[in-house]
Amino acid sequence: MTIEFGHERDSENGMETYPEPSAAARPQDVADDVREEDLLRVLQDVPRGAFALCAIAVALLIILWLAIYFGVFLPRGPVS
Amino acid sequence: MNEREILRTELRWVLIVAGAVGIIVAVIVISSAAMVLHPPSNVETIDPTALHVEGEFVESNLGAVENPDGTITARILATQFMFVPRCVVVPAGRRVTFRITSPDVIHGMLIDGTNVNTMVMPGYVSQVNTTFPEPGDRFVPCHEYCGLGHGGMWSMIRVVPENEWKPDADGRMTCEFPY
Repeated sequence: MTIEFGHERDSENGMETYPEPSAAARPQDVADDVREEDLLRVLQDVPRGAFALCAIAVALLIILWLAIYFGVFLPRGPVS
Repeated sequence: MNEREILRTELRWVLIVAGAVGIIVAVIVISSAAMVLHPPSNVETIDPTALHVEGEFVESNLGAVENPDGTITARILATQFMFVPRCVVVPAGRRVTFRITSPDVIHGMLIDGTNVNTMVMPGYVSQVNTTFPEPGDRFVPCHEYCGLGHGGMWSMIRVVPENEWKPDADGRMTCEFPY
């Protein structure tokens, strides 16, 4: 099988790619040929969404835990 | 976003998670202290090979009995594959002490609709205190796999109103058949 490196191509996410020779023997071992600035631009908004998602998940967890504790566990009466 | 900002975001998240855990722990600690809640903790050994011949778990002593102070003690034997007795009558609104042990393998006992939930181990007496506020029948399944008949191992706690609690001269009352 012949593997060719260094061809300029458009990646799936539309970023520009840069032909750089690689020492890796297989395509999956080749480092992403993405510019640092492009990467930072894409990542800039990611933590905000992830933060919101995590916050909602944790808030739901706490609310449900409190609901079960006060709505089910305590009304069932103490044991000792 | 540089590494410093990522670190700051992670630290912020750590604080939020610590706060969430703190809320849960605070609720448990405060309610436990205020309502004197604590898990059953009774370590008491017994000879599992002699349960049927001597001691408090002989057959004639099983079931619920009223103590001189008005509280109830219910002794139950968990054995493959049944609880003995199959039905226990207790009055509502009184403190009930369940004492359970096993002559064979590990069983489990929980009372539906209550927080009573304990393992029953041969050689040990499990003890749980509780009060049933409302009359009614409570399903009591074995919740620890104990063999092929495990699925059919269950019993019932019949909680009767105070005015229907009519123990005999020995302070005992049994379920009316069928139950």
